[in-house]
Amino acid sequence: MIKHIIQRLCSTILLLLAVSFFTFWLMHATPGSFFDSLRLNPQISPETVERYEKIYHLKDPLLVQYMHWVINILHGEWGYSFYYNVPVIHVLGSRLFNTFILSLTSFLLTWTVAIPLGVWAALRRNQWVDRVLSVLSFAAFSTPGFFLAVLVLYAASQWGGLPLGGMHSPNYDDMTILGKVRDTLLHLVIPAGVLSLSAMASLQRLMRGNMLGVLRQQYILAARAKGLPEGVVIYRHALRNAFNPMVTLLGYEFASLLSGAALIEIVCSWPGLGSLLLTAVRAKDVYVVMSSTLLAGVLLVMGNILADILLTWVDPRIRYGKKD
Amino acid sequence: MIPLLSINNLTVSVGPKVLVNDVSFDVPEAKILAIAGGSGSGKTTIGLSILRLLPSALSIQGGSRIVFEGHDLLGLPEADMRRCRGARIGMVFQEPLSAFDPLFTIGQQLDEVLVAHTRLTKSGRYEKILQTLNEVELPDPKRAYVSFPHQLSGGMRQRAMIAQAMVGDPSLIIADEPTSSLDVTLQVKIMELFSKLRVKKNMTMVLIAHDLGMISHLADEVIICRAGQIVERGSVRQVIDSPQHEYTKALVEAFQ
Amino acid sequence: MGRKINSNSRTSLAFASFRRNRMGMICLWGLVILYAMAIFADFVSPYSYKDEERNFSYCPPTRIEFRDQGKWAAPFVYHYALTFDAMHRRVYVVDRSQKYPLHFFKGGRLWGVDAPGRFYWWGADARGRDLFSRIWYGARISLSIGLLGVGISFMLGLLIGGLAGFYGGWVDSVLMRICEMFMMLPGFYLMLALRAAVPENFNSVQVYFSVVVILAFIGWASLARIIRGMALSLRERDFVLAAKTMGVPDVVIIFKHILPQTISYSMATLMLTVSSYILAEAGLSVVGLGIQDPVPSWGNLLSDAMSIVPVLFAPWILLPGLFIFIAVMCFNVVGDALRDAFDPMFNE
Repeated sequence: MIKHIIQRLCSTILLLLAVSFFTFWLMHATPGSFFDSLRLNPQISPETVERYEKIYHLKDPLLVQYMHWVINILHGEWGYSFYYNVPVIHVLGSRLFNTFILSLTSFLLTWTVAIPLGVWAALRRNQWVDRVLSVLSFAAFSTPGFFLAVLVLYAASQWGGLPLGGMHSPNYDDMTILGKVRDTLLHLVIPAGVLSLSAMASLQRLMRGNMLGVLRQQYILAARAKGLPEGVVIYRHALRNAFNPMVTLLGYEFASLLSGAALIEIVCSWPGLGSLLLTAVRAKDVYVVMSSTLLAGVLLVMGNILADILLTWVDPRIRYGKKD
Repeated sequence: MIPLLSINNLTVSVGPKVLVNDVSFDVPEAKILAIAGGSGSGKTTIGLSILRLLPSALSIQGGSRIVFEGHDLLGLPEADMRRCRGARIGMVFQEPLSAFDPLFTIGQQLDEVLVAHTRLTKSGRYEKILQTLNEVELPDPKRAYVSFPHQLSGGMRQRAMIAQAMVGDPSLIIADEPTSSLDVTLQVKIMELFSKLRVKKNMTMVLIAHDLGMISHLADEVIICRAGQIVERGSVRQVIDSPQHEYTKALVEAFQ
Repeated sequence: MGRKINSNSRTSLAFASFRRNRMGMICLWGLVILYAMAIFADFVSPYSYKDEERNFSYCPPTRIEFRDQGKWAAPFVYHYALTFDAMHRRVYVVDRSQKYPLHFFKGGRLWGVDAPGRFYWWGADARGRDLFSRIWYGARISLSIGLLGVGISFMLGLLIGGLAGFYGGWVDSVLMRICEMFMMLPGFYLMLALRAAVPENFNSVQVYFSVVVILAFIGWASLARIIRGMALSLRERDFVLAAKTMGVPDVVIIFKHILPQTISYSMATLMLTVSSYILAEAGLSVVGLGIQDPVPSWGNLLSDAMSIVPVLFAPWILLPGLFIFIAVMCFNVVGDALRDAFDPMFNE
């Protein structure tokens, strides 16, 4: 099991390196050096430009620049944001956290709703519950997330009750801890809800499919042949077997949630990595772009490792392997 | 002597197609009756019908009767039927790797039977399971108890499957092709195990198989099925040594 | 069921099964209609996508009138007059003083009205451009980008998946590791980063192709994995072994025998991928990083709607979203129906 985790770690580090190098190459492949436009920018002192030229060895070939960038990252030097006029790190911290809680909330919401719904649909196969859920699922994952967000915001603006975007109310700082938590949760409802919806839809269908597949298996027949109560057959044997393969999806699911979150963040004005990246891309703020992409990759890696650990823990065939 | 199990006029169909056509036979106590035939003969369907575990698309026609220990199983409410499965009738499946839940240990899966049907305490159940695992000649019952199905070899798994069928002390065992998925040497060993168990526990068994060789070693009586109908029946010696029906003759020849 | 059917009849069996699926057929026809409208956008739209009338920003939809003072008449429209209310907000009032008959087949277009009348059947956008027209011109972009992107992804997927599945061993391991890495990438972030690399002075055609490439880049990996799975199972089949014993070179086996099989089975996945690409392009465009104004795409048509205020007084600007939904839904349903049609268990 440890061996497996180490393998995974290695391939994800490779992944991070590959992604960052690629992004790096892209940013520098565009004609017109960033630093040329910076030199022209009156807000940035020539000393700052000099300093960064030195740190990043901008006169050197690309590969060397990239290596220096990596080394700098590991030393905590994440670059300078030319748009915000502060070192990148100052901008990233809170944004990362915000994206993380949005993704995490959606993730929890998705899985706690979709799994039971999927099981329910499988047990009521082709009855009206199943059919209705099927149609709703299709509709949900066919709707562009940002569009749904706008519709929901529109509805919310008519009916009130939920804040329309942003993360905190204006009087946030005056609230108690409990009040702050409650305020953030309220602001999370629309973005997390919309984000979860399409993920829920596909997950539910998947769970339903798995459940139906498992119910056809020989060991379910054998369990019934042992005279076990139907509840034990379904919830102890069928459910666990249907759910297990889904754990492999945890990593990918987290990835797509993280990715989908970016756009929702923008529409709902949620101050996260996604909206940061968008601003940075528009402004060609190169180090922010690089760092955001890298951070998104890191979040992903964390999610994947977690998923892998969960998988090895939950499936005895992987955990114990063949002994005899 | 009332037979332990008596099948009368069993007819099973799926839609317009008839899978088992008016089949009747008795299984005397402490005897092994084999149901032989090629694939599609309906023999597995007969086995599943006894336990009322047919897929929902299949239906047993009215007029069929399955009498076990004096009760008509087809008329029992589902709750009673469930009490019967595992406790009064045990089933051994063909492929132990797919008949065991891969996520639970052997011990846990055998324990389920006892939890569902007995009032034994935890230690009582543990003892009983170890005892049963011993009876099926597993070399290290305690280790088998905590092993997952994939951790055992094919032969040991099949022994565990037999143990699972036996642990509830049923009076009838239905074995559906119990050795078909094993290689030849293991087949012989499992057959020997069945012989021993049969003597030791005075087992009554319905053996579903296509291998006449095994049937001739183990079974007392045999019925030959073809396309859902019984084409020949009698004691094993009788049927195999002097087959009457051409299909039986073909089967016998195939196993010489 | 154990019946041996050769591969060709299995395919036709699957298509027959698909034809029986009512929802699938309805959605297929829906797609045909959408694409037809897109192709004939020049014809069905009363205006070009660039045609502005800034005085009529967010003009409400024009109603087609069939009755003139209580009597049936040839269809015509009234125009709107711009007035200001007490609080100096713009209000559009129907101006009944002048009738503009709806004419047909004039100037190469299906329908329209003469200037200075404006036929805003589905309302106007911020610059007074007809939304109906822009939606159909936008359909050209949105619907074609998805197809092109999938085309490229598919070719990449075929190449890599085919090689991995056919050769197995270390080739397979390495290629699949690479695929997994690509599948794990945070798609939207990568899209944004890639988009940042596109030079600013690209014209709209170049931007279009850049977006196609970006989409293909993020999506080829999952296609490759599926193809590889199919290739793996196909290479054990009799006809491949027969070809091998006859000394047919590997390349020919791959391209002539294995890949054609995979196409029919992967059609379901292709449909689903198109729908995800349409959504991805819409996502890029809505934040202004995809297709640029004035060229319309359903995504950038919605960028106005991203802030609540315009939506409140001009809700028709949400219509492109409905079309995205319809297109994506149809692709999803068709893809799902195809998948069911090819599933042997489903057909029993």
